[in-house]
Amino acid sequence: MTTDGGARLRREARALTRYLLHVECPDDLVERYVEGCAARSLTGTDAVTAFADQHPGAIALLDAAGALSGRATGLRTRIQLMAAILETSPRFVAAFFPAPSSRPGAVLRLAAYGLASAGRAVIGFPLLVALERGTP
Amino acid sequence: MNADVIVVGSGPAGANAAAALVERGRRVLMLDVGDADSTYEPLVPAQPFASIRRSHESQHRYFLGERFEGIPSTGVRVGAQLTPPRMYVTGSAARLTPSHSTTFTAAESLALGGLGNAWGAGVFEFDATELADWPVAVDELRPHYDAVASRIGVSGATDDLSRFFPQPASAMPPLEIDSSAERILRAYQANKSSFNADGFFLGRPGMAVSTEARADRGPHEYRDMDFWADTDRSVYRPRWTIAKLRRSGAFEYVGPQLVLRFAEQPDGGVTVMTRDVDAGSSRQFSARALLLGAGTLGTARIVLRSLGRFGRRVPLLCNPYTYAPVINWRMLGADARDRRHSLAQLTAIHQPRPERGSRGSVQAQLFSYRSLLNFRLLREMPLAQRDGLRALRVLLPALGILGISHDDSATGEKYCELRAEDGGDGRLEISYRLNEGETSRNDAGERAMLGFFRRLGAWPIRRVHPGHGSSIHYAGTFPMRRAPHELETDVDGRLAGTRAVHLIDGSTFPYLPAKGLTFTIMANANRIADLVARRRA
Repeated sequence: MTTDGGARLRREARALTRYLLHVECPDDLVERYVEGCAARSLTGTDAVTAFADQHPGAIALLDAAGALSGRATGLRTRIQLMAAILETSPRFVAAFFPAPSSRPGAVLRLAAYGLASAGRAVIGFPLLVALERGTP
Repeated sequence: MNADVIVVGSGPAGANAAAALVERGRRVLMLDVGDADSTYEPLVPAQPFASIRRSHESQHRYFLGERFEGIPSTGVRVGAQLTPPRMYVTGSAARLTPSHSTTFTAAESLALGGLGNAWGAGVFEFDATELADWPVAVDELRPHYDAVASRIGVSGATDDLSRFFPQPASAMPPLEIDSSAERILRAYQANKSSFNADGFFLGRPGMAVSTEARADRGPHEYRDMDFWADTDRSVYRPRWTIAKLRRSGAFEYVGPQLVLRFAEQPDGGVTVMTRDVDAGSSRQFSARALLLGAGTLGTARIVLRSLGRFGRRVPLLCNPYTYAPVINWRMLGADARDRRHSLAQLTAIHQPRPERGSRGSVQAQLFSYRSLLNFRLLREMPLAQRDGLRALRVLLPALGILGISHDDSATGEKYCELRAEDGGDGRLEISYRLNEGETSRNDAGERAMLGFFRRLGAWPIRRVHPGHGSSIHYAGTFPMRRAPHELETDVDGRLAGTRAVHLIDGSTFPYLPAKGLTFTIMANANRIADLVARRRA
């Protein structure tokens, strides 16, 4: 892996952690992400991942669009890797354990997450298609 | 050691046959590759899942794997339930005994203890209707079910499933079920007569799990770590039996030997040719009788190669299997008890045609989802992963996974064959296709089962078909007949045309009911070993 490649992966780890949990990624987990990318042959890049690197605010849109359309697998694989690393660190355990809630509250929250994701997918889908066609 | 009997394979069949032989005074030589986990077992602490998650800094090493192999790279596939500490179970089989297919994914094991290192521990007897094609009656198997139950340790309840799976006299109290399963079982009991009239039955499965302390095993500690480790040694693993046998002077374990073929000798003995997996050298072993328990596909390779039947198709059975995530709405917003196990909580049976007994039944096992971790589900959800993580925090207490099994019978479209290859030992080709009738019957069975769970308050989200082979219940290659033809077996499991070569794994089952077959494999292996021991006395 090149120095540039390593720097990009470290930047990616931090951006994905902010995206998933709204927190800063500890340095040891950044390094674990770099190791994970090397182990899973994710050190290369594609148009979607490169765009997300330049515009971290678009990660949510591209992830949501990829989830509904079954595309953006490179970016979604990286997000899953980062989520796995965060989940298996005791520091972030609260973000992965069940959240207390009433039954109506639980239903409302599920509806809110679904709607939020669908809204992002609607916005993100044209961007995703354009990136995949090479015309961002 | 000058052995009376060679047993090939150390899985549920081999371990229990060897134990039965040694108990009857026979000297046994076991040949096995014997892969073992040298990496993860020492890493997993004997603590509950939640406690590990909160405090164990190096949990990523076994939850994700040292090479991050625990993160799925594709959707749900054959063997998806294998965690990094269990991946050694199928690890070297793909390299040493590959099979080839475009329609079927096989999972085999060359590990010490075989697939028994990762089985679900369900204890299901076959009933008379399910054994109708077999020349062995339930009453002949019953003492061997009991003997195996005593050896491996079985726990179970007396409930609506007892009519299908009678509990052995030695059964220990059942495992406690978790908060979600309790609510589903209560909903069933409140409306039981209506469900029963429709052919649905629900209860707690018998399990090969010690719920009481027995010798050096158990009791189960409810740590919810059953997918990751055997720290309390409560779930039966064949390697516990092998370890005990190795302390006996009448048993010798020789590894790492990949058995290639056998040949019967004019003096009545059998010679087994192996390849030492480490040294690459060839070896030979001889005894008066041979029991083959290399797993249905492994045994097929050995038999077809030994008899020179390259290109000859033999039937292959495998329970079609479907997953369905379900949401138990009564658990939404509810607290789930932390004390729980990760094995099947409940078993459901649908008997659509009671006049046919259990034949044609559909069976489902309900698991609660927690200890396999949230990240495994993220890419299965139609949500951005940030929203998926948040949704899972709400859903987790209510989330379950149903594993639905169907029965299987031989047709001309399900078979395997050994193809000759230059300089090699032959390669196993598998073709497995369900016909239209089977597909539509299975689809109807799944819909009915999901409808049953919906009535119990567990809403199915979708159905996931991991592909043929995913039940890892393989059988039927050399069916047992009262008057066997070539490539069939007699009532003693003896391969037609041989004097002393017996098949003790799933190879001899001419029909696969919709339930786990491991307990019946063990009972049948015990039965055949008993017969061989008496005849060689």
